[in-house]
Amino acid sequence: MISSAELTVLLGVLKEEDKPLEAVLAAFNAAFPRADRFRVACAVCTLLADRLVVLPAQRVALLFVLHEPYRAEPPAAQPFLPFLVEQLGRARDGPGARVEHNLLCLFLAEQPNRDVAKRSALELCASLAAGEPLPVPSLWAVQAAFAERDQHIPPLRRRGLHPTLLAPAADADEMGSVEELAAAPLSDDDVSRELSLASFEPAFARPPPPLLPPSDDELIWLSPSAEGTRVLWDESLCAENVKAMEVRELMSKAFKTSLLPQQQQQVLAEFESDAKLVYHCGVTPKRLPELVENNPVIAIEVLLKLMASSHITDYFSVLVNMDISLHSMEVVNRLTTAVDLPTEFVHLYISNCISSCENIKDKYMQNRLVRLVCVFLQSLIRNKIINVHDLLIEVQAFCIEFSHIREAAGLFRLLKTLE
Amino acid sequence: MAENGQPAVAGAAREAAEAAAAFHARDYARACAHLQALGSASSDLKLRHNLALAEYFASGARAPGKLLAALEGLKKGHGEGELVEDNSLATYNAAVLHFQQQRIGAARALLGGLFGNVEPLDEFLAFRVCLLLLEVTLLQRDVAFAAQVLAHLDRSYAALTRPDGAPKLAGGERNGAIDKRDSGGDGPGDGSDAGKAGSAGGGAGAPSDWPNKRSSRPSPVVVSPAEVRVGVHLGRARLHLLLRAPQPAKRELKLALGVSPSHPAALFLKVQLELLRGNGKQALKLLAAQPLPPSAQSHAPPHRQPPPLAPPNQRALHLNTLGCVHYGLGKYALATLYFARAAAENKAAVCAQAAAGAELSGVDAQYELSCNLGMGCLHAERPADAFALMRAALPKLWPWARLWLRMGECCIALNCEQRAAGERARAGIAAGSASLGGRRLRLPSLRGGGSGGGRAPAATTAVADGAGVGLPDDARGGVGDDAATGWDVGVPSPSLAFAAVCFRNALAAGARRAAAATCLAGGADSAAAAELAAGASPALGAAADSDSSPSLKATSSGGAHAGASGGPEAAPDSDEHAARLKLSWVCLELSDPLGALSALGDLQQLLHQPSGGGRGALPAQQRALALSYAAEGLCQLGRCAEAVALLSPAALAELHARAPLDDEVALSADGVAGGDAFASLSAPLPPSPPALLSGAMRCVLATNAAAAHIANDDLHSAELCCQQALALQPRALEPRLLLAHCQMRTGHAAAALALLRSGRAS
Repeated sequence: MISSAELTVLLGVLKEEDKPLEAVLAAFNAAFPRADRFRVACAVCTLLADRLVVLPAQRVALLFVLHEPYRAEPPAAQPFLPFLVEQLGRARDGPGARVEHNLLCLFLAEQPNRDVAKRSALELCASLAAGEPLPVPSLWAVQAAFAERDQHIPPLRRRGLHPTLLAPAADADEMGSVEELAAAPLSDDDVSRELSLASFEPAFARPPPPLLPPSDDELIWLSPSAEGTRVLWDESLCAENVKAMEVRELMSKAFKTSLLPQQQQQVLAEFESDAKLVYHCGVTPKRLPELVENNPVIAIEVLLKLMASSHITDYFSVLVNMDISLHSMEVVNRLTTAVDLPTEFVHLYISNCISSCENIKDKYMQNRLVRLVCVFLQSLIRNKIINVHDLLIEVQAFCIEFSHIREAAGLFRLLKTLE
Repeated sequence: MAENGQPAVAGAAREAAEAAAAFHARDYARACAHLQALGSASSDLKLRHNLALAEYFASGARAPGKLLAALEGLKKGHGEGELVEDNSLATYNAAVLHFQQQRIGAARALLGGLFGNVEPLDEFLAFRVCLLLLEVTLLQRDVAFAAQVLAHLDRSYAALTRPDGAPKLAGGERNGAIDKRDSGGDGPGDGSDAGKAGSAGGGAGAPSDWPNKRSSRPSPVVVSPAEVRVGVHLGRARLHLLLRAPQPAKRELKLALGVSPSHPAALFLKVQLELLRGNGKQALKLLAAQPLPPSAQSHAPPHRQPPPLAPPNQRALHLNTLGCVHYGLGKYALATLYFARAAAENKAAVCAQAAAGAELSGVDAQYELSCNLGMGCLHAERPADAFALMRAALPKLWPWARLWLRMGECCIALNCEQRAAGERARAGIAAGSASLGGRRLRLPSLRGGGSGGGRAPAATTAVADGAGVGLPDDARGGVGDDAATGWDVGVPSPSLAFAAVCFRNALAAGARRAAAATCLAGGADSAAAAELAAGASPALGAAADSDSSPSLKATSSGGAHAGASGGPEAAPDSDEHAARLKLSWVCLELSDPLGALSALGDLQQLLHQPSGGGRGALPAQQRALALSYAAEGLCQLGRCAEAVALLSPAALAELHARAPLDDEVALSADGVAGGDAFASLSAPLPPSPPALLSGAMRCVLATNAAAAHIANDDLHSAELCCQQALALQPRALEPRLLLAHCQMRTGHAAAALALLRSGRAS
């Protein structure tokens, strides 16, 4: 709280007991900078509470130092008011008790006596000791403010006690003195702790959690790899494969027009010989519909090769949403027989086929598309690609709607036989 | 045009081949010249790529940032219709640079992107990507993802080598470079072998080693089957070692050595395996049998030069392994010594490489060594050093939960040291009171010292001084600039506030890993990954005679191996519990009861599980501590009745009943049971006892029950609890002070004084 040197300075201030208390306060203010005054005042509290200062005149001076600077503040803003109230309770049974009691009554009265500051500590002691004990002023407002404040204090802290125990056999005046403390061979820290305001609070025992047991797997075992990690030279520089370039050229053509059978065979052969070529021939989901319409055989091969790709769903998505045509149905049909397509994809494609048939305006084209869809569905059903019961109502409705078309009637009969 | 174009193409190919040959011969200036002769094709991404590489090495490999920028430029120049390989190799090389610069997260991000779209990649490049990604994930201890990468490698390898594959592509030529690669070669890039192969178009065609490599396109990189096999077997061995499954690790190691008997990693993995099997002495023998390679600083005679495959920092690796073994044997001071020497050797090797203008491929292990040294220091009771070292390892190893956990422990240990100093100061105060004639007894604050401050404790001065065994400069860097604290401004100091950050980071890192594992469990490779994670070897369980089987054939015998599932699965849980418990303690120290209760979280649910029973059950000691911390947190929040209920006799009786008897035995053997429970408050942390519910811990619980009763204004029950605690630990200070408090509250100050004096006398 305070150092030994500060304690000595404080003792020097207390020696001026024959001067008016306002002069003592002025000396106190001169001795300690503003920033230190509160800290020193806290130590003063401990000196008073622990009766390390026993001379009545010195105690009067110290009480004045605690009270006077904050006298004009409202009770809730006076930091040492609780201490003064507590001291009032204690002052009844100690040496010089009447002096202290009466002084505190003056301080805590609703109309404080302003003459106190003009008188010296010795004069005050003499007059207060001679008089009758003053009645204790009403403190209910102050105590209510304390209770309100205490609600916000943790329970254990609220139950803190004054931390000093005095030997019962010893006379209270022999408990040691501030002079003794200042003269003791204690470090500043020791003095500071000795005069701290910390109360004796009950506390939980809080042993720290132990270290996690050491384990050899928490270490980083280093081992070299044969190659290390090195940047790699591109060995394929200027080693472009002619055939792959030809395929790319053919594919760029395949997006626009049908390739000749010989060209188709060349592309398919190259795809067969190079599993990765399909990823580098320019096919993207966006361009898939063009390829399907112009070269369905190549499109089928491309999709089959891309089945392992993480982007295959993008291709499926494009395929299912493109305009229904003979070629797209051919592609889907071949895919269904070659690989296990996602059921949702097949169902969605069938639904799109049916709705395309329903929405087409040209009767000729409609009949043609209906016939194609019917053949496609019969193929799926016969090859057990789809479970017809999943789409039975939808397909039956489609057959009934187009029952005038022979293939639709045939599909309806097939459904009936399956039922 | 065709007539003119053919010679032009041939000329360009010849020029490219010469550039490759010069590059692999480390004649980078000539490589640049040849590439610049091809300058007409400046838009060719491959040319720009190789030119950037050649210029990088020509300048002594001193500007990796410049090369990285060039590679990034190549990636940005990639158009939609262009080939994927054109930037995938650039991406791979960027990842390599990040890896070399210890930016593991960045490397993993790039490699993960390539791995997520691996199908279009050339098979050989895909192998390279997977092998590096495997290295990264193993470094990050991401077991689940490593298993996924291994499963992919396994599948790809089988697809390219299975005997029933489709016929080879016509025109495929044998790549003699692969055979040479098996015997070594340490040139940059893909090795000099690759350079020679490059003259014929690199990996063009289908090498006979890869019967199913059906590609008419030239491969940008070359890799041999043996290389992949060794990489996969070693990766699997390391993975099993991480999973603490010695049997499958041994098998994989044997398979790897069957392919590459002189692989430099073999010794280190064998040592690790022996230690895992509990053969510490055998591990040391293995290391002793292998002479320590010469230092990078010394000029060893030619016959003492390390073998060509050996990395430049092999000496550091050797010393690190020695440190790991001694750490595993509990000799932490010795381990620390070896780790420090390894760090010094590593630094020398890095400097030598930099001076030679060579790549830092797999050389710099400063972060790993710093981390190991930190772990050693922590257990050697040098928490300040440990903290500084672990902090130095953070830039690379930050995703690792255990590192954060240990850093938090360093902070706690330092705080405990500080508190011990405070206790000594308090003893001085007692003497000061005595100097007043013993007439005045000033009671200490039960929560002494104000430990919650953010100031670094005095112990950090040891770090500032660099005291102790060979603390690397990296760990010292920036430390000691602030004379008051010993820590640089802006650098985390080992305060309790930072401990809270550490534990929260540990929990977050654990959660991230758990989330990643969950995602992986839903992935396509989950079956293989899960099988491997369980200790099985799904497809690489080849016969011991691996030479006779060209492919890493699958086996159905991959059952769960002992030890593979128990330890590693339990570890994340126990780490999480430990982190929560420690975080709650730190929060209480920082006067944050809400944070303490929040940190305990679902730990409170575990309080009611049987001790030691089942996965994730709390050990008895942790359970008791969690109860204690929870009760204190509740009390500080004004919920005293709940705290009393938590520490009620019934709850404590249940806790005691569940504590296993062997805990008591272990406790007695440790000598902790008979000691003063509260000695641990001031002493440095105990060296991690097993789960204990000792008399000391029971005394703590009874004391805390008393404190809760006092807070609840039930002084009679509090006195009973204090007496119970004093019966368990007659010399314990806290219950005595609490009892004195009760007596003072009831007006028996003399009795309180007598009680305290009798305690001091005893």
